[in-house]
Amino acid sequence: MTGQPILSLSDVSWSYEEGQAPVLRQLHLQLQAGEAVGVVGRSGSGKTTLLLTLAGLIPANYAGSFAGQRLAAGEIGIVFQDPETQFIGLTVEEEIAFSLENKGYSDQQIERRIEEVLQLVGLQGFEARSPFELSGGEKQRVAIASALAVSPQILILDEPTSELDPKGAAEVFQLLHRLRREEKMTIVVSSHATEELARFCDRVVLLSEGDLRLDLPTASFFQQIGLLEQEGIFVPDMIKLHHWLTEQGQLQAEPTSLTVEEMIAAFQRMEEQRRGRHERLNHSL
Amino acid sequence: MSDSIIRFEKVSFHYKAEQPVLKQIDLSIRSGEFIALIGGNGSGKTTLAKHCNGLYKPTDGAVYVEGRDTREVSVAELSRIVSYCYQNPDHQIFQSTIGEEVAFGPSNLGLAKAEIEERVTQALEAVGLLPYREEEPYFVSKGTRQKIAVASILAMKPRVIVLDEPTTGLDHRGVMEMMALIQSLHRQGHTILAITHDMRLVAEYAQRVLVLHKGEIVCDGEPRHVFAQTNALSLAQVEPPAVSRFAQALGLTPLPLTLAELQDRLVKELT
Repeated sequence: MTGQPILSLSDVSWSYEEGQAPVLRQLHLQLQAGEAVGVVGRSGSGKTTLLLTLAGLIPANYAGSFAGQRLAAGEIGIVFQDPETQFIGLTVEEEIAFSLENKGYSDQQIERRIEEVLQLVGLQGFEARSPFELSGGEKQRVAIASALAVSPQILILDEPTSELDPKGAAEVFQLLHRLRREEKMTIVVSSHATEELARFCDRVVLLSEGDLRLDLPTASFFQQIGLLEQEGIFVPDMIKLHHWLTEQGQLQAEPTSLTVEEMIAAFQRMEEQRRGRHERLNHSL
Repeated sequence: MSDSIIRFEKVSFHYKAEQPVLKQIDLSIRSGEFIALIGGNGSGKTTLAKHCNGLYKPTDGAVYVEGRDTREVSVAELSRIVSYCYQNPDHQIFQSTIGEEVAFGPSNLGLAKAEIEERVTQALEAVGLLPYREEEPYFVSKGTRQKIAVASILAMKPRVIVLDEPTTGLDHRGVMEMMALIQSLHRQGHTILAITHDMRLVAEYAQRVLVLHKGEIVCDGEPRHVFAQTNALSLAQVEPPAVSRFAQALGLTPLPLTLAELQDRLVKELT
């Protein structure tokens, strides 16, 4: 992808306290409009700090030492790991209205926008419900709706599914797929759920002790199996299986299978080729 | 069964009569088993688990721990046999040092000081936190807080350890460390009942899987058998691990559970 990035960090370093070891070190990262970028790394590797910096909350709202340059060409919404920590409204409606009121929207605009974003996240009819009484997946969708209310071009999510059960996690990722497809949203998401990231992202970056160790298209990223495992990152079994079949001389390395469905298709192609070889062999005998 | 340590007999439980959470559950947990309890949200997993040491009492039917009805024995007494480890370690951590936290349970058993001391040392050693005994339990990672919670339980020397989502919110290395710890406790003779949503862990570690759906056990067996029951699993909103789904599509039986098993099978198929 080319063109002006919608968001970029150039040579960015950050320490929470002057003189302490930097949590981010001389980091370069560019996002193009419409991209979905995954952020992986161990707990404590600096993922949350990176996302806060991309969102501009660091250095604006934090004391510490910032170096480098950040450029943003669009409005940004951010969603945290535990949605309850960001809820302030007693109802879903109030929760979403909050950011709009702060931006000076009229009552009529607020009403319309609430309806629009609730429809977008699939929670129509939830206006009067307490956000605290919802399921985990619904809570996180309310948090996403609040972030979307002010019509950001970029959505940043910090481990949005780590406290959710599989159903809640699937709801959140389905919504992210939809926001990409229908709203052309630029999305940055950190997660330990690498199977979901492999399915969702165009590109994935690896953070390790504040360094950006890898920044690659998703398939190439997950082919770095040795490095990722050394860094304590879970490489999905289907990616490892494809890699192993390639080593056995059974499959081409590309296109890499990232999901069970892709692995089944690759395996079927492989079997057809094997049958073809057998038939040719039989024929020539 | 004679060696059953926990027995559920037609156990039903409800908060509101019209909404039963558990329905007529019959279950026998045998000494030394490693059981995974799985199922969708609201299927009754935590409610079932909390019946194992009397935290909840059945509305109908009875739960027996070592042959004693849980309604007739105090939770404190039962917790010597069956200990429950909460999903969120912060719900059970409240002392000012890690050592004191782990000593809290055994202190309440009225044990001699030397015995408490020995149990704390052993428990902290088992989870790899002995050097951190004097540290505060709050400002450490979630993985470490989870280990403190497990150590607190070990100090009670229970025969059965019930763990409610012990790996939720941990990174991959944290998950592997926690599972290695649980596996070593199992090898030392503890009976394990673990609630989890991570089907790879179920496939790799559990000997027996209970699938709960709307308060009923809809599948009960070895992981290999359970993960082949695709209809029951999809009803219970459970997706088998990627390896098993792939193997199922290829029609491989018996079903491989781990990548290593799958590779072994493919080597045979491809040669």
